[in-house]
Amino acid sequence: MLDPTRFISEYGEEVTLRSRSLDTDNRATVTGWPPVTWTESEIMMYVEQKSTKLLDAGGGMINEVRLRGYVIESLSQEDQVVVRGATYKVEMKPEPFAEGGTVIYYGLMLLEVAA
Amino acid sequence: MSVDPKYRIKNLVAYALTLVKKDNDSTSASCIILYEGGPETLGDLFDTYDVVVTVGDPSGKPERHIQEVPEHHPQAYPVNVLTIDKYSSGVLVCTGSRMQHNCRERIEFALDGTKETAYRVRIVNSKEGQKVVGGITIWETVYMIKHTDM
Repeated sequence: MLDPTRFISEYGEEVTLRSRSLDTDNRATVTGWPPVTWTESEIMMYVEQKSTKLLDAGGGMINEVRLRGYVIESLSQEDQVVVRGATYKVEMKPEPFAEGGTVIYYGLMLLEVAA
Repeated sequence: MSVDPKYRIKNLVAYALTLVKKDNDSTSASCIILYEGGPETLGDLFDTYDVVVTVGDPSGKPERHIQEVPEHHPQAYPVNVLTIDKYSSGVLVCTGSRMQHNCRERIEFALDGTKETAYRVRIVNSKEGQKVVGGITIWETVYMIKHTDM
């Protein structure tokens, strides 16, 4: 079986990871929400097209595009990745895939952040 | 420009929450009140706080029509009070259902005690319940708080 790390390196593509940080010590006065900051880096990801839907948002149509991604690094829910110019968010907690008790790679559900 | 009622209600409830105690009736509970729709999950919030309160968007209809012109435009804001069982070193320090009672006492006291000439706030409805979501048992009370400019 092909090593997942090698598979992602050889068949994946370089994407921009935007790691999200929440400053919970400086919450906004009105909403109580913490400010969000982003840190960018480049990682390798194997990307699969998952689904595309056209939805009625009540007042207009919106495209909902989902991808499946596989990475070696551990990402967090709500981090963002830029794949071929389009920005996606990590919709759910990444799924770890382990062998012999050691996590080898992670599976991600990505949802396009609509412009 | 008048004060945003949602922000006003948030501040009134926030004051009430400062008086909420844990099960031992002496230690202050850590509470947070936010607008709905923030960037954090409930799991993240309950890691830090004992009580999570969110203020939602209002609904309402004009009232007291005189010759078909409404006198008041009250809006009812949903305020969700969420609690879970919280443990410290294996000991239950915040019982979800009891914390709901503690919060209700303080919120009712704070809102009923608000005597302003420019506006009125009161609880028009509340609904308690319990649900298991994502592996967490959450006790929830939704208060509909009516705000009317006088």
